[in-house]
Amino acid sequence: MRTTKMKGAASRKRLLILFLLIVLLGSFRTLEAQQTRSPWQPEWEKVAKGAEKEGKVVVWAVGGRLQRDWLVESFQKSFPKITVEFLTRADRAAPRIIAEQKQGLYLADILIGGTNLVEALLPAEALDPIPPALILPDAKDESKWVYGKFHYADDEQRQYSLLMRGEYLSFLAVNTKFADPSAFRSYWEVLDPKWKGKIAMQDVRAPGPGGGGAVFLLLNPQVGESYLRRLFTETGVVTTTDRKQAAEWLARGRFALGVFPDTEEIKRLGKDGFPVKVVPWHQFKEGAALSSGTHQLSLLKRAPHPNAAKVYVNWLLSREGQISQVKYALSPSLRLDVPEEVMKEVLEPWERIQSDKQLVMISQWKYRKYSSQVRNLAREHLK
Amino acid sequence: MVKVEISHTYAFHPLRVSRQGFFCSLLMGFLLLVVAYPIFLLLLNSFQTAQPWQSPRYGFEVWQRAYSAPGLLLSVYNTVRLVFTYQIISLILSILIAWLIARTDLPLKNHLETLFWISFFLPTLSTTLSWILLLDPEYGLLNKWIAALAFMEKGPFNIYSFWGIVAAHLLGHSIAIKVMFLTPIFRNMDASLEEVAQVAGSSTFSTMRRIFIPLMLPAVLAVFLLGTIHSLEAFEIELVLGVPFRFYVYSTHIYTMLQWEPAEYGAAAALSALVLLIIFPLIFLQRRYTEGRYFTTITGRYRQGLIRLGSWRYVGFAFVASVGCLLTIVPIFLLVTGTIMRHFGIFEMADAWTLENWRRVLTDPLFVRSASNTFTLALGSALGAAFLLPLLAYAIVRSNFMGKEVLDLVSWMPYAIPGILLGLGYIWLLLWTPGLRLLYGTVFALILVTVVKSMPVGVQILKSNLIQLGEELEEASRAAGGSWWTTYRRIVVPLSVQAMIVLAMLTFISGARDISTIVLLVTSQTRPLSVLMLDYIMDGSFESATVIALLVALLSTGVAFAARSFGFRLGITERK
Repeated sequence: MRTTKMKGAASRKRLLILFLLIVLLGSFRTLEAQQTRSPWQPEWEKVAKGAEKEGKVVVWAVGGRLQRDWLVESFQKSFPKITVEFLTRADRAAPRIIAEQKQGLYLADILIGGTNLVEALLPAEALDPIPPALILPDAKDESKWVYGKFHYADDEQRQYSLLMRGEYLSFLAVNTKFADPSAFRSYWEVLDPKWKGKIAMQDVRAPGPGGGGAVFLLLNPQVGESYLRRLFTETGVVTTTDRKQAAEWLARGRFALGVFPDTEEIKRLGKDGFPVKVVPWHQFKEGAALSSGTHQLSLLKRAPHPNAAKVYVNWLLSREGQISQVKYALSPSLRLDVPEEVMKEVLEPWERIQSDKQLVMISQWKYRKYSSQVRNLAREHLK
Repeated sequence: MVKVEISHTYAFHPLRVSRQGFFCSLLMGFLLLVVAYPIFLLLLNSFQTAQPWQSPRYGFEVWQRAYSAPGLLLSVYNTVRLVFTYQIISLILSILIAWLIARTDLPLKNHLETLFWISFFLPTLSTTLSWILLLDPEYGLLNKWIAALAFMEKGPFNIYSFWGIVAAHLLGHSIAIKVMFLTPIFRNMDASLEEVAQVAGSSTFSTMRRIFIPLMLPAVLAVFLLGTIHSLEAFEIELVLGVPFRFYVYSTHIYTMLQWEPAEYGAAAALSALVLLIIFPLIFLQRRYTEGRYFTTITGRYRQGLIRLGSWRYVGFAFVASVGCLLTIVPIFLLVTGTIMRHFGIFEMADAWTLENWRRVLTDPLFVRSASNTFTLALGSALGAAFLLPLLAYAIVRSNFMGKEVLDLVSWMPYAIPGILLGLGYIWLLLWTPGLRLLYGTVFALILVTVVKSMPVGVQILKSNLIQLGEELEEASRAAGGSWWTTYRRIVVPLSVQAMIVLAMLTFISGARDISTIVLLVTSQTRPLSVLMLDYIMDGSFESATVIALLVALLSTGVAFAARSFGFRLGITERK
């Protein structure tokens, strides 16, 4: 006959066995988790902790409230313990950065600018390679990008200037009171004498769509150097280094056509009721090129906040960072997994990247080396 | 009989340096470091033909490229034509206006003078755009109203023309700054000089022509020189109004080169060297004219008085008030309304009005810090200029320092160099000079470069003022045992305080508004409102940028009013 005492001992034994089983199970799970833990995670945790300790990352960019919303506010929402110090006018920063580094001052971590900037900084050995800084799988995964790879401005070394934006270079915008946007099918039509004296053009010698656009025209076998000569000499074109000014001239009817327009500004003016429209690139039978403009990522040499710089770079190239680029900076990304609802808000259908077509990435150096040819042509013929 | 013994302790010693000489030498060294040296670096760099990362290689290719640019000769011709046209017109008008305000019994003249100060505080670009709104040949409101008249086919005005650019300068700062400069100097005129002429039977106009203007000639020459040289560098109006009809001037040439990719700093410096070459002979002529002549108007028997215009005072009032209102009312109206418009100057569109621009600026996380930086920079620059520049002017005018001509020349140099080039020179100066690197990245670097940029105007204002002071006032102080510093502090400064207020105000507004000089030196910690304004311009939000421009103008106006009332209490007051 089982006494109460014997029953109690049995239940304690059962409890003990249960407890041991739980502990064993937990241990197995932990072991399993440790064994399946990705190799990048410990490194990422270490870097993230280091970044929080550093407390800030210093970023050079061209500037503008849109860029700030993307590069500062969005990042700080995800990483509130890392402050972004935002330096602007990166397009003019090369002499300053070179002078600082020559004196042993390394004051900034990240650079987001245009090809001209990197062209000046790389020979001065002012940059560090990007690939070693990539840790997160989402940031490293090249398959998510157009043509399944990262695109670098330094297309041979593929280390220093990563292209993030893919925007079709717009060649032409019109004032619809004077010109029918659907009538343009070829770049050569702009040379028609009826447009003489009625064209404003963004100066191809200044930063902006003009430089890349002119290089594309120069290298395009259906267009070429003779086209540029004629554009500069026969059309009475008026140039300005101020893209907003050119857009305003067009909107107010001072000119009928705007060559190498600021697409965002034209779209904005069009939405506000001005009679202006960008001629979609696909209307031109000679094709178009993609440009990254001033959305090229570089790591400055000996970043003073190395961990924060790594966190920043990984965020920027991740899906989240690229969604922010589209949403806040209103720029199409070269990354293909940005959600449709975000794209629809910002981009016209013809502005989406058609990755099934082979596109010219005009920001790459193999094309940019023709910039000096374009500039010389402009100097010679443009007054 | 009292025996007088003359002490011979102050015997000549070949190594003894006077305090004045020591001080002037220090000043010279400082000026050469902060003015001449960065400009020298810029010019040296203009001969550098290698890339920045390569070993230096010198040659003339950059200069050849700069001076063989197509259209350069035509732009020089356009510049000369344009500058002399509006400088002469504005000089005549401003002399008349300043004389009416300073020397006559014009009603409400202090308030009228304020209008010209306000005009100067308004941003050039906003002022120009406001006149485009009225005078655009197709869309200008004035042209549309005139075209609506039965006998007119179209409006007669076209701001996109040579005379349109002249008008934009006159309606901008050209008259205002001259009035600001000349009025305190005209006020320092001893009334007895004019009274003597009138007692001898001279008319008011004749007195003005034969007494007043010759005595004021140094100031008039200085302001003409300042205006002319500044015109060689100013480009905003010509960029907005000249480019559409392919009218280029020298300054737009330089500006455009700095906007190219890559920026042609060397070529721009080479072209700026021409401006330096033009300055030096002009300064030499100015010094030749003023040396050996006396232009004293303030003596120990100084007496201020006003010329009674009789019923002509109302005509004078109408004239000055009309000009003042023209320079202020239209631009202010556009500036204020521009801040609440969706598109600057477009009234006819649907939903033309919005408060979004104000919301965007006031909720900008950078706004408060930028505003604080602006105040620090502007006030620091004003105080720095008010301390340093009068000393420099005093050394040039009053000392017997043998290098004072060099001081004078060097004080002009910043005017020849575009702001962005000066900023670049300062990067090199601060990074390459031991000890100065501590200033790099701080607000003190911005203050220093702003004071340097303001130096030409400030020194000329003070020089013109000092020339008017009779030396016997200072001699009396020294005879009574006052040291150089005591004399300067208790005689010279009170007599010059109104000119110093003008100098401080000009430097304040320069510090609050300047972008090009400081943009390369700014960090995220020192970013002022002017650079924040660039952010909005880059996004195409000119209207939000206008909000900042208005806030800066309000800040400057408030400080100016406070400074003026303080200065009027301290300085020579009018006898009622």
